[in-house]
Amino acid sequence: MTESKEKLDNTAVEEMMRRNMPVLDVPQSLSPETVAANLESSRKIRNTPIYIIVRTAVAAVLTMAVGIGAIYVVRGGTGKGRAKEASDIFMETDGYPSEESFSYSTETKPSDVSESKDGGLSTNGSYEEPVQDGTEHFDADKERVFSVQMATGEERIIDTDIAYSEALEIRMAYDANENARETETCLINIRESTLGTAEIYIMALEEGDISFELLNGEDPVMMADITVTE
Amino acid sequence: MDSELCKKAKNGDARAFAMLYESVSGRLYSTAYYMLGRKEDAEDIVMDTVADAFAQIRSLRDPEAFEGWIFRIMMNKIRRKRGSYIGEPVRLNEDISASPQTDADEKAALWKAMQSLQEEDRAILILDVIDGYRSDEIGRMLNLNPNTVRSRKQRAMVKLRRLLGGENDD
Repeated sequence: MTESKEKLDNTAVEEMMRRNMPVLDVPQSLSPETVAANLESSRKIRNTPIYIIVRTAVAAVLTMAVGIGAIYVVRGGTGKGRAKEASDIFMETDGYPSEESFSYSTETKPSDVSESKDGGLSTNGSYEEPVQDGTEHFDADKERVFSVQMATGEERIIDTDIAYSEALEIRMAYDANENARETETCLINIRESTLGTAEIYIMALEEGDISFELLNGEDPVMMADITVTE
Repeated sequence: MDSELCKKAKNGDARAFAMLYESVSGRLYSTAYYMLGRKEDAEDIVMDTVADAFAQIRSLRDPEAFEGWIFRIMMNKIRRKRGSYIGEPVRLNEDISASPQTDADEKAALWKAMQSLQEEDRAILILDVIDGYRSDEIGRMLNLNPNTVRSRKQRAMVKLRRLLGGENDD
């Protein structure tokens, strides 16, 4: 590798990628002619009488099954126990965690926060969500991307486990005013928390999108994309 | 994108759909291959994508959005497919990756570095550098804000530079 010991710039890396990862020719199985033929034949199958009969029969059976299931649920739902059971099942399967699993204390100390196996944060065992909208803590050992949605006038604090005394800097990505902490969209500041750690204070000012990185020295330790809506 | 072809494809014309597909086939296949590292899986993903896209093309309102739309279908499939790879190393099939113009060590180093990126960052680099899409187009394909695409690309490039060029932090 000729360039291994030299410093590379973005252009050199992009050239290396293009050299080693060219746009490939599609194999015969994916040629437009083969694809058209496959789509034609699958369409013909779908339009054959036997396919239509089978499809109709399957749809009828499924409709009956759903109907019977609905009757069963309606009848079973009159009992309190069953209603409670159904409610519990609903709460567990509707894709939203129960209220308890979202509990999050703003007084959480960094030592109480640990990584769970799936990369999420665990706060006293009650918080298992990976980084997502509204997550308010990050671990400096792991690069994290936050996606935060805010309404104008809203304030948000992201606490970190980095000591405030360490050199931290906010860098606005793609903003004309490099290192600015105040933009039209947001006011962003680093403050010292009561625990002596750095916390990032964000106040949404106007509708728009803004991204920033938090640097520890030269290392980006956190990246946040903020979307401010009315 | 030819709106007449798109109209025909919406009416079930497989030939017209294949002509639309032809304009993106190479990039679809390359992206799938570089994301998955397996020729067979890349072929399967593209085939699935094509079948789904043909079945759902009636839902596509703007013919101009065809390319981004079909890529978006494929990127979702790739994400699910990669979920099944957990614990398995992903290696490029040498029959495709071998090319007389390139140096095997450089290729191996680049591939290893690419593998160390987060999946979405790798997708952004491939779509940008290899396929030549703009950040707003990539944003639509991956459901990301264009600013996010640019900043994540920049971050991924910094990481690649460090890994490939021995660049220091200072």
